[in-house]
Amino acid sequence: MVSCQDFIEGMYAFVAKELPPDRQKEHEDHLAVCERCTRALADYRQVVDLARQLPNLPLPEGLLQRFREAAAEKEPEKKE
Amino acid sequence: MLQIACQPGGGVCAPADSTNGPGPISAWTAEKVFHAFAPRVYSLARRMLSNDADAEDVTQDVLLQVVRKLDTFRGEAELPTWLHRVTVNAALAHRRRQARRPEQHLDVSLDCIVTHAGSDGRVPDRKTLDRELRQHLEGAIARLPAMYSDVFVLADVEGLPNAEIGQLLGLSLPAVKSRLHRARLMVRDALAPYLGRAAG
Repeated sequence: MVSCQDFIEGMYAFVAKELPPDRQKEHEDHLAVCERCTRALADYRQVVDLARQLPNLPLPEGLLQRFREAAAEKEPEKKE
Repeated sequence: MLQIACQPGGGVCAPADSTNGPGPISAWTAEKVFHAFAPRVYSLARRMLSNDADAEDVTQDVLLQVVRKLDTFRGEAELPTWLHRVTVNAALAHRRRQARRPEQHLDVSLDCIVTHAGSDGRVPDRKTLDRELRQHLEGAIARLPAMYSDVFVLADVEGLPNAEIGQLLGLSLPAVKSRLHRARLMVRDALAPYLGRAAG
């Protein structure tokens, strides 16, 4: 028997399919009767999906110029 | 994950020369290195450090290391792993130096770009919701304690395997998984008012 607290604690392993088969089944059975945990699982998965789709952040203005200057200073150290 | 190939989501792009492709990496100029790697290195550092100036310093340090070592790379395949390692180590070292300062200042300037679409009562469209959610997510990551944001960023944003994250951060595999789970729960709580709205 899986409680809501058990389900939330085990959500990582459930999503990653790392639970033993019988435990996985218990989690699925709990989901079938618990709307709150179903919502929690959907939100958890949405967080992971959103994170995976995050684009790169915009580069700050002036970073390229700063880098050019720093690289030019280091240039004599670099073997051509 | 850091990749040399162009990514649709704006990932690292080896700047293709219109006629000859990016060419051998040992022949790259500093500018080419910047355009290829700065967006991803900066994004990783910024999300780990939650501070623009620190992320800029780390980005510059890392890219200068790339320039210095261009001759030593046998090929592009080894660069992504190397870049992750160097960026994470540089960010951790930067954080340690900052921790020795008396006052810590968390820069949450990312929040400044959060738009409050729909605050006028209209239902925002899907694109607006996605953008708004991403901005709230950036804010939530910036507010996570470092021990959680490091793992969340490396696992869920960068897509690194847990074993590699453990090596980078000096954590056991169970510790990585535990922190990742906690981090996801904290982000979920922070985003609770917004989640599900874009699902339909």
